[in-house]
Amino acid sequence: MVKSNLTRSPWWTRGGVAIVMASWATVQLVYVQTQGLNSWRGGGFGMYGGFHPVQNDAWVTTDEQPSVHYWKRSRDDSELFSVVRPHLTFPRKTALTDSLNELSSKSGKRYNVEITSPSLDLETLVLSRQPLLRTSSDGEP
Amino acid sequence: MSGMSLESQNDRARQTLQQSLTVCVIALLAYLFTTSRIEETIRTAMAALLFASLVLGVTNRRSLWLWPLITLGFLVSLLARPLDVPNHHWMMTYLSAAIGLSVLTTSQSESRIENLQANARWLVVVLMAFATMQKVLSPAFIDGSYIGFELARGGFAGPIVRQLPFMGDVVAENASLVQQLHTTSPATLESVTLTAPFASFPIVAYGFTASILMIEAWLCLAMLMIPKRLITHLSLISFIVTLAVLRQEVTFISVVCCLGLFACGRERPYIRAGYALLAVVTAAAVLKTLNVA
Repeated sequence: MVKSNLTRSPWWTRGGVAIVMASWATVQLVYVQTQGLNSWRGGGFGMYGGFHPVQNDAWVTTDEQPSVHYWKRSRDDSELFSVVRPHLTFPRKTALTDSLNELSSKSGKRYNVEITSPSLDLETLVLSRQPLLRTSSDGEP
Repeated sequence: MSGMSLESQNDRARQTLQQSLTVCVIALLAYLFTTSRIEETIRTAMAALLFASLVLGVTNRRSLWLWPLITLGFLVSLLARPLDVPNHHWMMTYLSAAIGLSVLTTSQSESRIENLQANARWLVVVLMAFATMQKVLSPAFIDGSYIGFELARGGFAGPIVRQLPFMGDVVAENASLVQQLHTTSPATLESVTLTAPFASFPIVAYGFTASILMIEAWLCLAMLMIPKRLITHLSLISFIVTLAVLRQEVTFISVVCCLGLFACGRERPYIRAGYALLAVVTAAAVLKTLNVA
């Protein structure tokens, strides 16, 4: 056998990317566990670990309209949907309230938003909604 | 290897590297054609670089410099909204970075293959470790309700399940009820009751849940402890095929195929051929999602 003069590369060329990947995935995992980020998103590899953000719903009511339904794939280019959409994946009450407040000051409307996720009781097979976030443009749920 | 000259070994190593990188370039091109996650100008530039590498030869010295640029393209798209990006996009980024690091830090084909092998192994270990951890920590997964939801509405192997005479109708009806709840105001409809598509449904859902956890944990441990053994690669290929049948997650599958291909190094030509075939087929399936007028 001919002996090759193979040189071994430094460790970081062989495992450095995996260390970066694990570090970021840890950050994402903390966000999922403490901040309510959907595990399907953000590079933490939590796919199939729970309901996909596309299965979440946002219900927006104003004084004039009874209820408008938004979901991740809604085809709507309104400012209201652009405000609500990120919260279907990562619901943050303070950020959403602030954005709704800003929108309300422009339109003069009061917005109530409820974001829900499905919830199944495996024994009875009753599929209901689990509220992820409930807020309004003036901060009152 | 006995009797093989050094030159012949180098030629074989270069050939292996060329095959693996070509498969990876094809998988990345298919993704770039279909994703809307990357801004169009950057996406076009990335595709042009990948095409150029195919023309010049993927192992050409100049072609290898495309990998940091491809990684940069992915990073720019990630930085805009990192927490809203799907996992396969992150995997593509890590894969490109790993290839760049593996091929640019040495000039020997054999060393490049060894680097790629080590990187792919660790990427699969981290991927499967976090996939398992996330599931264990998720209440909706661990109580079986998420898997039960997907089984009841035909979320796994839906096109096949809906054709089965003994459960197809029930699954279709459940899917319709799920859609009804999804689109009806909570003030009008609070809940719906699904029908079990088969006997002992909760037990099957728990079993399915436990199997997924065990398979992912096994893949993590196998890649960590016995990365070169045949059983490890057969397990990974079985996982890929099962995922393709249950859910057509073609982009994610093509990345895992590339990782499996690199993780083989120069060994196991038949297994490498299997990974390459699966990667190319799934790349073609990614392109199927294109809406060509």
